[in-house]
Amino acid sequence: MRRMLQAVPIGVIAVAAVFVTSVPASAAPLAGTPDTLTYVALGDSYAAGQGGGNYLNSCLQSPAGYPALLDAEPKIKLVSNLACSGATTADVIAQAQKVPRGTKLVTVTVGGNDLQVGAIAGACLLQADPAACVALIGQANYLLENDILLDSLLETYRAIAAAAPKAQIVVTLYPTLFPLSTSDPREAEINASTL
Amino acid sequence: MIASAVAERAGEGVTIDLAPALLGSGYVHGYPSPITDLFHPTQAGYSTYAVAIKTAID
Repeated sequence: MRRMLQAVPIGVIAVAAVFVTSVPASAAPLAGTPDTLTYVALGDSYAAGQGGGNYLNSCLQSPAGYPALLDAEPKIKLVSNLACSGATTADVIAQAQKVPRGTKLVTVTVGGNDLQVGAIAGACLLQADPAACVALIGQANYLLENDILLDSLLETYRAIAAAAPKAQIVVTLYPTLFPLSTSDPREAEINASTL
Repeated sequence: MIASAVAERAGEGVTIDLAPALLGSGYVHGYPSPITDLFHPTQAGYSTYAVAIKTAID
């Protein structure tokens, strides 16, 4: 990520998220057999499923999002989907407070919005504001180079662990956005920077 | 990269599992609503996400 921001500013689209909204969480009771993985989804637009369409609420949670897909697995029961487009690490720490203590599985995708990648993508990739592009990249690099984002992520994971001490916490990376076979060198570099 | 860095410090009070890299799971072209959904995975991309997470769980 750091290399991506320094060398290819538009690469920040790999972690882009746009909206800053939230939805009240319900403290759903845990259910299922002892073998059931009671599951809570936390995170940003990538966790909500933005891009999947057929949105269920203002957080842009989609039936095509990975929480719903995992819920369809026989041994996994999604008890609460708290993911919301635009969520930062601070938002996910707040989400974590709503995780039932006995939860066995928590997934989380977060970090991109701390870097304001949506704004960076708009300013840089869409070339809306070159001056803002430079400024936003500078801010993002500051957060990365000084481990400020890293510390925020660690704090987030600790908050999740504190809320659900027995849960397996699965952290997802952000995906490569372009086909791996792309012949566009810019797309290829963005892919490489994402991995 | 961020998550990988976190993993290196995962012993600092928290244990996490990283889902495998999501190769080719995103796609920025052809969204029905490009302004809203640009730079996010498609439905197929999220299926890949789910597989990656299941791998981490197993």
